[in-house]
Amino acid sequence: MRIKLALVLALLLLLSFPFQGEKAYAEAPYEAYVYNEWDQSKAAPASYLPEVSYSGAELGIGALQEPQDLFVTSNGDIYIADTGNKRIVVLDQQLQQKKIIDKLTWNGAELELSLPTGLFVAEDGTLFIADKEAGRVIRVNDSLEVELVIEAPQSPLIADGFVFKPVKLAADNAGRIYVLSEGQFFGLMQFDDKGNFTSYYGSNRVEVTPTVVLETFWKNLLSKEQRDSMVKLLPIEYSNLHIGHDNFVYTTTIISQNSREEIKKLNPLGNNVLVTSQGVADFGDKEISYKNSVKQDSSFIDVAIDHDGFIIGLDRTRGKVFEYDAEGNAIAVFGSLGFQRGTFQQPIALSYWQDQIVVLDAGKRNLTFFKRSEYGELVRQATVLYNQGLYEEAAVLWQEVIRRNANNSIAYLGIAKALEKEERYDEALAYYKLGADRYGYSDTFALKRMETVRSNLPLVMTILLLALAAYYGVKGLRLARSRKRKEAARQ
Amino acid sequence: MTKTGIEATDKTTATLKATLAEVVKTAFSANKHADSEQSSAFTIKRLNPLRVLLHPFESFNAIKDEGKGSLIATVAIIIVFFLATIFKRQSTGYTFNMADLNALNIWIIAAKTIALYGLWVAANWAVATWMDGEGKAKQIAVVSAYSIIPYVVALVATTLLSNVLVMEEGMFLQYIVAVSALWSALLMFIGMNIIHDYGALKTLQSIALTFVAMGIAVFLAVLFYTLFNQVYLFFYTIYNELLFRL
Repeated sequence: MRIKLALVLALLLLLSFPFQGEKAYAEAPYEAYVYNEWDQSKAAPASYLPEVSYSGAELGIGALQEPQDLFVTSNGDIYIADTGNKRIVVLDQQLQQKKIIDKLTWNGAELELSLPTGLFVAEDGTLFIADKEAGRVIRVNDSLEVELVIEAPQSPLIADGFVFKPVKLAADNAGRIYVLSEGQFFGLMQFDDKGNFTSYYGSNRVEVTPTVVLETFWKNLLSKEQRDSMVKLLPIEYSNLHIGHDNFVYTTTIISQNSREEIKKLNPLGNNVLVTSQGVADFGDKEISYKNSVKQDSSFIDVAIDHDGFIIGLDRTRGKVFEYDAEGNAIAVFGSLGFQRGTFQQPIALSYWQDQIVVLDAGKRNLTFFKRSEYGELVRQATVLYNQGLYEEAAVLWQEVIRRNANNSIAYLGIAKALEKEERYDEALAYYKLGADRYGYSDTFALKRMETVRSNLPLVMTILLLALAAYYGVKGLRLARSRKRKEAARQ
Repeated sequence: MTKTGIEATDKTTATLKATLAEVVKTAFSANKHADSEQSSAFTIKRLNPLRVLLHPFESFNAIKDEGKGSLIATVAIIIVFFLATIFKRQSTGYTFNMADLNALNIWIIAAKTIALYGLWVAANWAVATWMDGEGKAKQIAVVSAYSIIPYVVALVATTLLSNVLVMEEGMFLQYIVAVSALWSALLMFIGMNIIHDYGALKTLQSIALTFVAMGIAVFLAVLFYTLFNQVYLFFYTIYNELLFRL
């Protein structure tokens, strides 16, 4: 009897598993997570999954050698700065070799790329190359003719012993060129379209840390000679820059003591506009570990922007890619250091490519493509709708997101906004709490308070007035009575 | 007419009698007071802790000279202080509450309230013995507890208020807390001044020294904790070694 029962149960158990067919559920070789209100990481479904990776040989362009930069044009061409091979490789959107740029002509003479570390392609196909070793910036037009070479810029603003070592660069749609030169703390160097140095742009500030405060205090007390012999307080250098479709300059910083503003979006005045209601945003990992008493913080070395304004940053320390929406809210995190497909040895550059993310690895010498998972696709669509102000439409998607990841605070906020719009304040308040947005909560609470006061004020005031009337009525009655008594007593 | 006249005289005699009785009574009680204790302008049967808030000099003098003030009330105030701090952490309106409600640690709050109070009293008593202060440990305990009443009340009041205020009105909470903290500090200052019979400057000195003493006490506690931890580890290692060898 028992055996029979066990057999029946086993059969039921077997049947209860649906036949999954051939569909394989890819497991990512890394962990995805979101941060909660108190900066604790909570597990989340993977938003991006590794799709495929190609080495140089597989792409038919020969092995890459120390590649340093990657750029994807709006029509899907991929430009790779194959620095060690002193060339630039261009792939078309089918990932076929389109052209290889290694020799150019300038003023009749041959011009060889010596160490191209950075490149940028404008909308019209104009290519900008930062040739670090030769200390020059080269502008090449669509038909591979050199138009402009910037070498050793001259300006009263530039110090005498300055060596021009352009590492990364970008250009806006007015033709201005922004160059990041190695060992240079005044920010980006801005050139006009004739190649003349105009100014420094958007320098990082000196970070306020306890040491800096102490230094500043001492410097106030010391004489000029003593001050000059002290360590200079310098702002941190940028590590990379990018210009988005919105024509804003995005920058990354490797080391930040305060772990703030690692990614910046600079307006034309050079001020950071990527700030949240709580102040400057904190990018990258928030749980900080120490290794040999050295802080292991995220160090961003590349940034890219897509047509919806989403920002991806590449962290060298842990080989992670962080994705943020246009407001700086964390959307996704993926990648890690390792040997499996989808992990990196020495990630160096990244970009969006046709709804995918492509990461260039200088250690593995390959390109890895990441595709959005079902969850990632949901979050993205919802975020796009939400940022357009279509809260109700987004809320439907956010509900789906929450079913897959109960820790997604932006999803709760999205629903809260929709509920607030529908004047369902009590529910909105609960969702604001889940989404940990105190400003939104407070605003909704103000609306609810107003509503409560409006609906209850007549009743409260009536009772109050009645009570007052009753009090004074009784008092007056008593007074009249005692007067009467007195009068009676007097008689 | 005559009737009313008689009544009037009756009334006057009655009031006269009453005033006489009162005079006698006060004289008698004053006499009695003079007999039993040092001469004091007023006698309070039992000191209401709330009286301290508005009449600190009178009340603290009563504590010093007449041994008024109850330890039961003191303990009650400190317990309320402890509970109010928990209440503030857990029940402040969401707009102003930055704490993780699920990560409540009562021991830390107890350390911040009860232990801190105990440390203050002990340190102040130690400093007072050294600086010729007249206050006894019980008086210090009572005065310290009575002095923090405004702050405790403000804790509860701001917590309740924070549930109906929005972000922009948050400064009112800060004002209330600031005013109450100042009030408490002032009461504490007056209290220490009176029970130790110090001048203003010496009171400030003794309070500063009290903080130093508290710091030393905490430092020693941490030191002893770590040292005993080491000793414990040492013996534990020996025990383990023996276990492996035998």
